[in-house]
Parts: sequence; C-alpha cells; structure tokens
Amino acid sequence: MVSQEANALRRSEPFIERLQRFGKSMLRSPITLVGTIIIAVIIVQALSNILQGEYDFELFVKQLMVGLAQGSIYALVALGYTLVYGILFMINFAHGEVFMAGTYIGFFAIDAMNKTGFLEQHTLLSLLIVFLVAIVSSVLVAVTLERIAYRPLRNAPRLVPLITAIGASTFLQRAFVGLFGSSPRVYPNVHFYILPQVFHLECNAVDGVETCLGMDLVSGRYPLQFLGIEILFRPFYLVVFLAAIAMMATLWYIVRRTKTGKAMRAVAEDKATASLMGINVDSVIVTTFVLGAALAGAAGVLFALYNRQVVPTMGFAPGLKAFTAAVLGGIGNIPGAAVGGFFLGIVEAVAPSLLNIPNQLENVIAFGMLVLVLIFRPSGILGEVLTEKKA
Amino acid sequence: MTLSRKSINSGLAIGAGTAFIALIGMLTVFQGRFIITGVLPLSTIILAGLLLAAGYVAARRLPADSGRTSQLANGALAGAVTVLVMVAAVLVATQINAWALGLTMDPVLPNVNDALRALLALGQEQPLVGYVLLAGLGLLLGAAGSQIGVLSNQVKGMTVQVILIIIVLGMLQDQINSIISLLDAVWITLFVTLGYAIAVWRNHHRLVQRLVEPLLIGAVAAIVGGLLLLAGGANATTAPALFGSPAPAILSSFILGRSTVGMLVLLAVAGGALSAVGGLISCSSAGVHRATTTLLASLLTLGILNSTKTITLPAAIVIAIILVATQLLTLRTAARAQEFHSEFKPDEKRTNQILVAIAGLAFALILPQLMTNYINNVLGLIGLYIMMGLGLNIQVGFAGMLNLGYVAFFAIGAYTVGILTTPNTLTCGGVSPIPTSPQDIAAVCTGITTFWIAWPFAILASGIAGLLVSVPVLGLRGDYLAIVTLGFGEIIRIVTLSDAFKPYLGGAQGIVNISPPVIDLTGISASLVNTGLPLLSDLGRAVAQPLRLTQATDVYYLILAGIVVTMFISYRLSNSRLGRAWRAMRSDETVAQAMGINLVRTKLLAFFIGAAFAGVGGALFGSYIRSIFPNSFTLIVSINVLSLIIIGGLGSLPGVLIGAAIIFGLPEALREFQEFRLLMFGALLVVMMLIRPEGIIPPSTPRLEDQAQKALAEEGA
Repeated sequence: MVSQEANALRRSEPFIERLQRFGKSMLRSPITLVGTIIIAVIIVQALSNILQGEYDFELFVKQLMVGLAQGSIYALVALGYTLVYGILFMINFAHGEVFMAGTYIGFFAIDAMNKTGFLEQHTLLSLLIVFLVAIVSSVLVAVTLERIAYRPLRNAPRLVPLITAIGASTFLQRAFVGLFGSSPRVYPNVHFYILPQVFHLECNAVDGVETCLGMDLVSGRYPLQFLGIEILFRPFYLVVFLAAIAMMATLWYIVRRTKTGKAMRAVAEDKATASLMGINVDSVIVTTFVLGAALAGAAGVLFALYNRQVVPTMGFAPGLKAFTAAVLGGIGNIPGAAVGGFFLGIVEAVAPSLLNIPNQLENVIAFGMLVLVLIFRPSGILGEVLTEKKA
Repeated sequence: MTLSRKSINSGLAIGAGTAFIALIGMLTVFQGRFIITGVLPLSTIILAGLLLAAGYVAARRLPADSGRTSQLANGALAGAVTVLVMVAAVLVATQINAWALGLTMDPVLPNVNDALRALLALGQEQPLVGYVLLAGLGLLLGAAGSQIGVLSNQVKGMTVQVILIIIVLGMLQDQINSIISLLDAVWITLFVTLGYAIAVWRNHHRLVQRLVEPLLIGAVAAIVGGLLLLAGGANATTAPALFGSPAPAILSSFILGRSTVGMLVLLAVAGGALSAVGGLISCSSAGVHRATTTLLASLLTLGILNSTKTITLPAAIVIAIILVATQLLTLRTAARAQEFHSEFKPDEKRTNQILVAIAGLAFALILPQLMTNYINNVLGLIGLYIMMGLGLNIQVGFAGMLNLGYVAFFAIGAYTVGILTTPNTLTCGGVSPIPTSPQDIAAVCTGITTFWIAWPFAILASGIAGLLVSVPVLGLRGDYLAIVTLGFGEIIRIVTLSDAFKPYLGGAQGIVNISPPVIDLTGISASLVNTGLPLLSDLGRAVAQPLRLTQATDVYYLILAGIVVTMFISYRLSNSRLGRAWRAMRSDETVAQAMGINLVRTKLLAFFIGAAFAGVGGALFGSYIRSIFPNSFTLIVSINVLSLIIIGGLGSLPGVLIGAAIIFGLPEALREFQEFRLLMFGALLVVMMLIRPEGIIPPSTPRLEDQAQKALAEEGA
C-alpha cells in the first residue's frame, strides 16, 4: 500500500524534480552511478557501431530469430528453476541434468525410429513419441531426485539441500556417462514437410511433372524477403518460439486456473497452513517437480532438434544460463522466468556483434547483464510481486 | 515364519542399485583391482556388501517380534531378489544392445559386455548355471545379512570401519607401502604407550607431574634400549645389517654415523619426548585421545604394509585385529582421559591444550619427511583447500553470505603472483615481443619481482576483488548473491581464457614458468659457518646456495605456515566483536542493524577477509604448480570448497580440516578409478547430507549463548 502511494506521489512530481532526485540518488549510491555509466557506454558503443554501418537491420533480424529460439529454451528450463524455488525456496541445481536426461533418452527413441524408417514415414507421430519419451524420462529423473535427495531435507538449513542438489547434479551427469558412454550422440536430421499446396518448396521435377514436398518445418531454411531485406528464414526457430509460448500458456493456466495450481500457490505461501487446509504438501511438491521436468524435457528435444549433438555434460551450460534467466526475471516468479529467458536469449544473440564483443567473451554477457539488472532492480525484472508478498 | 512383501521391495530397490553399478561397468573395472592380493577383488567386496545390505534391510523392516527363522528367510529372499534384478537388468541391457546393433545404432549401454556377463556367471561355462549359483550366493549372503541386526551398534560400527579402512588401504597400497618401517612404528608406539601407562599408573593430578615422570622414565628406557642395541653389536656401521631390510629409517638415522654418546642422547630425547606425549594424552580431551590412538594404529598398519608390501590375507587379519584392539582400548581409556581433562584447573587446561597444539604442529612438521612425494602433493593440495575453506567459512559460515564463485579470488591470487613474477607486457614495460632469453629478461623486464614481494599484492588484489563483487550485491537476498558470485567466478575464468587479455594473462596457454619461492640466505651463510658451533655451521653450509622451494615437501611447509596463520586469524575472529557481528547478521539482518551493527561495513569486511584468504591460497598455488591455466579455476573448485565447509560443519574450524581431508583425500584415493570418481563424489555428497545435515563437526555454541540457553532452561524449570 505504502509503495503504491509513493508511486502515485512520484508520478505527480514534475519532471525536473524527478531528474534532480534521480541525480541525488546517483550521488548517494556510487553503484547506481557506475551502473548508469556502464549502460551509457554500452549505448554509445552500440550507436557508434550502427552509425558506422557495422551493424544493420538484416543482421539484427537474423540474430533476433536465433535469440528467440535460444531464449525459448532458456525460458522453458528457467521455469523449472523458478517453480521449485517458488515453492521450496531452494535452487534445484540438478535441473540442468533433468533437461539433459530427457534429451539424452529421447535420442535413443528418435535414433531407433530413424534407423527403422519409421521417422520418415510417420514424422509427426515419431516426433510426438520422442517428446513423450523425453518428457517421461525427465519427469522420472526429477521425481526420483525429489524423493531421494530433497524430501528428507525439507526442514534442514537452506544450504543443505543446495549441496545435495550439487551432489545429485554431479552424480546424474556421471551416471549418464557411466551408463551410456561419454562420446557424443547426434540427433538425426529430421524433415517434417507441411502444406505442399501452399508452399511450393523442396520441389522435384521428374519427367516434367513437378512435385513439391512443402515447407520443411524442422530442418528447412528458406530465403525470405520483407521490409526490403532478405534473410535465410528457418521455420523451426518460429516453431520453437510458438511451442514455448504454448507450453508457458498451459503452465500459466494450470497454476492460475486449476485446483492443482491453487494448491501450489497455497503451498508456496505457507506449507503448514496449506496442509491444515487439507492440501497434501508432498504431492503438490511432486507436481511442481513434474511440471518443471516436463517443460525441461520438451525444451531438451526442441534444443536437440536444431543443435543435434547430445552429450551427458550438455545440461550444465544451459542449466546455468536458465538459472541466470530465472534470477534475471525475478526468481520464484513464473512470468519473470519467461521474460528473463527471452531477454537473455536475445541479448546473448544480439550483443556480441552489436557491441563488438570478442567471441570468447560471449559468456560474460549473461552474467554482466545480470549484475546490471540487479543493480537497478534488486529483485529481478518482474521480481516485485514476490518481494512484496514475502517481505 | 512369514515372508514379507517388504522384503521383496527391499530386494528390488537394492537390486536396482546393484544393477546400476553393473551397467556402468564398475564391477568389471573393479574385478581387476585386488584389495587383498590374489584373494579378494574390490568387485566381490561391493557385490557381497550389497547382498548383505539387502538381507539387513529386509530383516530390519520385519515386525520387531519376528523370530530368527523369519529373519533368515526374509533376508535370503531379499538377497535372491537382488541377484535376480541385477541379472535380469544385465540380460535386458544385452538384448537392447543387440537390437541397437541390428538397427546399426551404436550400443546403447556400452559397458554391458562379455566380461560383465562372465563375471555374473561366476566364470561358469553355462551362464545359466552361473546365474543360479549367484542367486544361491544371494540367498546365503542375504540370510547372513539379516543377522547383522543382532549385533550391537558398537560391533556394527567397528566392523564397517575396519572393512572401510582395509578397502582404502588396499586401494592405496602402492602409494603407502614405503612410508614407515614396522620396527620404527613399533618403537614409537611402545614409547608413547609407556609414557601413557606411567601417567595412568602414577595417577597424578597435576599436569606437570603427568608430563615430567613419563619424560624422565622414557628417556632412561631409551638409553637402556640404546645400550642393549650396543650390546647386541649395533654401531655406527653395522646397524643396517642388524636391522635387516626394510631398514627402520628413523632409528637408523639415530645410529648411523654417530658417536655412541650422540646416539644415546638422541635416543633419550626421542624416547623422552614420545613418552611425554603419552603422558599428555592421558589427560587430554577424548577427541585428542582418539586421534592419537588412531594415529598410532595407522602407524602400525603402515609398518605392517611396509614389511609385506601388498595386503596379503594374513596382513589383512593382523591389521583388522590391531584396529579392533585400538578401538576397544580407546573406548575405555578415552572417557577416563576426558574426565581428567575436565577436572583440570582452567590454566592447566589451557596449558594442556597449547601443548597438544604444539605436539600436533610438531607432527605436521615431521610428516612430509616420512611421506612419499605423491602423498606430499596430496597433502599440499588439501592444505590449499583448507585455506580456501577457512576463507569461504568466513563468508558463508560466519556471515551467512552464500558465495558460489569463490574460485575467482583464488584465481586472482594465483594470477597476481603469476603476472608479477614472469616476463609479460606489464613487467617488461610494454615491450613487444616479450624477451625470451634470460639476459634480455634481466635487462628489460625490470618489473619482475620475487614471490615474497608478489604475495602481499596477491592478497590485496583478491581482497579488493572481494570488495568489488560484494558492493553491487550488498542489498540482495542470499540467492541473488549466490548467482552473482557464480557469474563473477565464470567471468574471471572467461577473461583469463580470452585472447583480449592474452598479453597479460596468457589466454588458454596460461602463465608458465612461474618462479618458485627462493630463500636466499647466502649473505649470512659464511658468518654462520664461521661461528664454529655444530648446528649453526651445518645450517650455514646448507644455505650457501639459495634455496629454491620447488619440492612438494618445501611447499608443504609454506602451506602449513599459511594454514596456521589463517586458522589463527579465523579463530580469533570467530569470537571477536566482528565475529559476533557476523553471527548476528547471519541470524537476522534487521535485528543486527537495530543493535547498531553497520551492515555495509560488516558485509564488506567478510568479503574482504574471506577473499584475502583465497588470495593467500592462490599465491601459494601459483608458485607451487608453477604453471597456471584458466581451466584450473572452474566452477567445480568453488563447489568443492563450499561442499567441504558444509560437510565439515558450517562455521566450524576443525570441520574445515576434516571436510578438506574428506573432499580431497577421498577423491585422491579414488584417483585410479577416474571414471567413477565424480560419480562417487556426487553420491557421497548426497548421502552425507542425508545422514548428517549439520556436518561432521558442527560448530559449538559460543559460551555466552550456551549460558543464556541454560539460564532460560532453568527459569523454565
């Protein structure tokens, strides 16, 4: 309530006074000042690059597409972190491995179907099966993890489950290396053609009769002209983005509109009270893990369909980035994780060439941006909801 | 007699675990690794252990009043089910691999091979016969396991301990079989026991009396022993022949090349000191007592290993007997020593504790002289991690600020020393290319300093980095701090890896040829020799050349000094005003602030001091390894350090020592099994946290808090 009044007051202030106040706060906190300077430098650098013609709209659109796809993956995995954090206040460090488990087991399904020719004949069905296998594997791993490693420690000091999670993460990674070997496995090149009547693409002329397969949604790349530029458009990036949006919408519906979701929100608020209201806290927590793992498993297959190579250590880096994304958006906050994921994906794709950052320093971007965001919004982009509720 | 369904479940669960171990190829790899030479490979121990566990768990889950037959039957059932699950899993996996092969896929489970099937078939021609035999073994071992519950906890604990120790010894046998000879181990043990026995027999209540009597009697006994040796024909030249092989290095060094008087004096000093230690132990706290008996038992064990070279069956039995006997003895005596210890007057108690600390330090000083180079390297590494653990303990344990990027400060320390002591753009005044020949380097690179000048800079650099990281996150909650520090750790690693900073940091090639610490006392060497005094002139001759501290042993001492200093600082801080402020802040920031604690200052100090400790470690690491690469500073190091302080007990100083020994000693012990090392490490972390979430040695409550709680309890009553 107080903050609302303060906001109202701030809004009524004349611009000059607001600027003065901002200036004073700069002086009071050198950190904000440094943050502002850094952001100013970034903007100047970007502008100078654009004005010198080293960066153009075509490049931007290209990178935006890649960024959106990568961001979708980050967002889906970040949701797993945020869901668990929202309820247990614990960083599920092993979530990256849950992501990996689904992707890796999914490989065996898709590889077997590819080798038998089933994939080519019934592509849609095969893809559904792969998604199902991946989701089920991820869910199984996550539920086992919760049962063995986290549930007994629910009342332990907060650092203890963190260490267990780190241990479980190492264990899962090495267990997959032990079981399946450490050599990389490669997802087959999937071709999924749609609507040959509409898209006259991938055409073959045999004896003067032209047959078209349609648009290859997974592996196809087609030149596309719009707004005066020509780019090589990969439909799969759009598919990944739409699929992620659809899954997030489903998750949002579950959390906001169903009884299960209501129970989850109640448990997040107060476990003891929730259990007095007749909510089975354990099963709600399991549901949370299931939801997060299902998203991670699906994200894993999407990721592997365009990145193709899978190894048991593949969960670490996306896991770390997704965790960063979750914090960026405000950890514990579901829309925040989505926003953070997209934001991180896009900035990571766009920033290196926009700001002339050397390739090797690309990974610094994610964390650097995180620090910058946290300086100005200490609880993440959308973190306000949580802090007001918990504070 | 009833067969319970739960027994089948136990069998299924443990069978799944066993199947996992088989499928990852652990059994096949460990088949060739003998714990008891020629008799018992590690794979057999693991398999038997799991079957026994199946029986034990099944019996425990029976109703309390079930009879022995019931227990036996259910245990046997669980054991058999375990075997069946494992065999079934392996057969299914074989079939899956066959299918994959049919589809021209790579094998799905590459570790399921003929060797594994032969192992499970117990080497029989007909696999089926082998599997049935194995199931029979499962029945037997399961039934045996069901009776473990009958044993008392004490016996159970002791058996497990003895078995674990023998397994560790077996795995390390090649590394540790030349540490100390049996004769040396025996005489050392004898003198300590002598002193202990005298102190207990005389039963004085004053600390001085408990020390002086054993000292004198021990010295006399040593002289008598020396005379006997002389009478037996031992002298400066014949000693080796008398002792045979392997020669007792310590004892020989007292005799070889020395005059009769010199030999007797040395013997008397050693015997007296050891006996005095025995006397000291008889009135020390139970923990110290237990540590000493364990140490003596390990000495004897190592001695036995030295004479047999590998663990043979008789050696294993003797070692087991020694371990059990020590345990039994300690159980009785430790309590009595503790009783004595607590009856001491405060000042005597303090003297006792200081003496124990001195004895411990003396032991730590002698230790590397006995050990092989490999073990000294491991000890050095553990030492570095102790230092880092102490630093992180200040940030996380004392101040409650979670830091997942601690390795960054370690890296900054190492890189500072690396940069300041090698030729690069900075130290050579920006010339390009960097000179390579020694003459050019000496002429141009005037910025190069020695380790001694560089290390304070390393500490400062790390400390300042600590401040810089903590400033933007001062107002953040714990988990945000965790991710920012994690990010910082990664940033530092990526920056050191990048080409952009290559002229300074060397990029992926890192910094090589870092000069070791050099002790240059050549200036006073001559005057020392000229004094003509025996010890001083020896020393003078020894330092005639500058001492380059490159050996693991040399660096061990540097690291030991570092540990002693950081440990002392930590200890003093923990009860200081600042330490109390940290604890208050950890419990509740708002209340702490209300009590007048300046949160910003306190947090910054925690980060500064914690980071500076890592800087010390990093500086030593850099000059010890002498080549540093960005990949030595990955996230896993931060995680390891965090794990070690949590396993040891968050906020507890002895916990850091134990934690470091476990987190780094154990993986070193398992180094041979490269592929399973991290797997076991991960599993161990989980298990450890499940069994003891508060750590091995939880920090003791400070005295005042303790008193306050007691007072509250009394009021309530």
